[in-house]
Amino acid sequence: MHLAAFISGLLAAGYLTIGLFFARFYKRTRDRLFLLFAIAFWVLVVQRVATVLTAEWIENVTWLYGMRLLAFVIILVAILDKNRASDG
Amino acid sequence: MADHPLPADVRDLIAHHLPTMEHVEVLLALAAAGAKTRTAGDIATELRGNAASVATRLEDLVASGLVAREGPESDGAFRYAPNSVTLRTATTGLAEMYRTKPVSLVKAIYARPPAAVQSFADAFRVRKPGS
Amino acid sequence: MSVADVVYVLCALTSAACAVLLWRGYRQSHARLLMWSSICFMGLALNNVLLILDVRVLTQVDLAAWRTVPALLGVAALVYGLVWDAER
Repeated sequence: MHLAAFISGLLAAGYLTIGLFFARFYKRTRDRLFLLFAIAFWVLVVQRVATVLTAEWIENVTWLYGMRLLAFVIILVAILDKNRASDG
Repeated sequence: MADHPLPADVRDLIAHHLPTMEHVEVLLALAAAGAKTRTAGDIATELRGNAASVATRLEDLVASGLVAREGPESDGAFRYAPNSVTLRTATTGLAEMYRTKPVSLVKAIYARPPAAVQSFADAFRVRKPGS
Repeated sequence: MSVADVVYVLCALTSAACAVLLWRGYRQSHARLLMWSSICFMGLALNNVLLILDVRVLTQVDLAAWRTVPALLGVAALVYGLVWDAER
């Protein structure tokens, strides 16, 4: 239990850092891809924190995997957006 | 984005192919010559620059597909030859910005994102433009 | 297949797609940041695959802590890459 929560905390800190870097890249390049990646990683932060704060290891709680899904859908949208934007 | 003074294609050209102001000046000097060929020495004289430095910029521009080597390597002759319509249009835009918004242009060159960051964004383009 | 399985499969596929695209970008640009990013998404993909195995297949063994290890290693790799290789 404690180990699991500890690992979740590490992951949350990592995702937070990664998101901050992507936000910085967005500021520098104005490329929406980086903004969407930043948001996706921050959603993963919230998901990790929520995992610990709720039932700790019950990851198959509906809204928890809903958040995980949201993060990856945002990444998917970022990739699709990149390929649409570069067509013009 | 709307709040950026330079057009998107010019920013794209800078991000991918023009790391320094000297690249910009060498490219524009060749573009202004149209179909005529010029050597690193010619361009260096015009820009009051250093021929060896201009020569390395020319090599970069050849690798970028903006400029072509003309004749044997020993001649050292180069010609403006963008290998896509996109590059040609962007270079025309660049010349316009060089004339009308030089400060924004210099700022954009200095704020150029690191190559690694640009590569990250480019990696998600499934179809690679012009390659 | 439950809704959860579909979510985990989609997350795994999205992560794997990112890993492949980033690896391809790394081979073309030789920017090490892309290698670290690719490793990160491989870790996230593996994490999602392990989630499916844990919940669906290996119900008698609890993989709770182990399944996060690839994600943790992946996140560590990307944070390292962002700190050391992003300005090149």
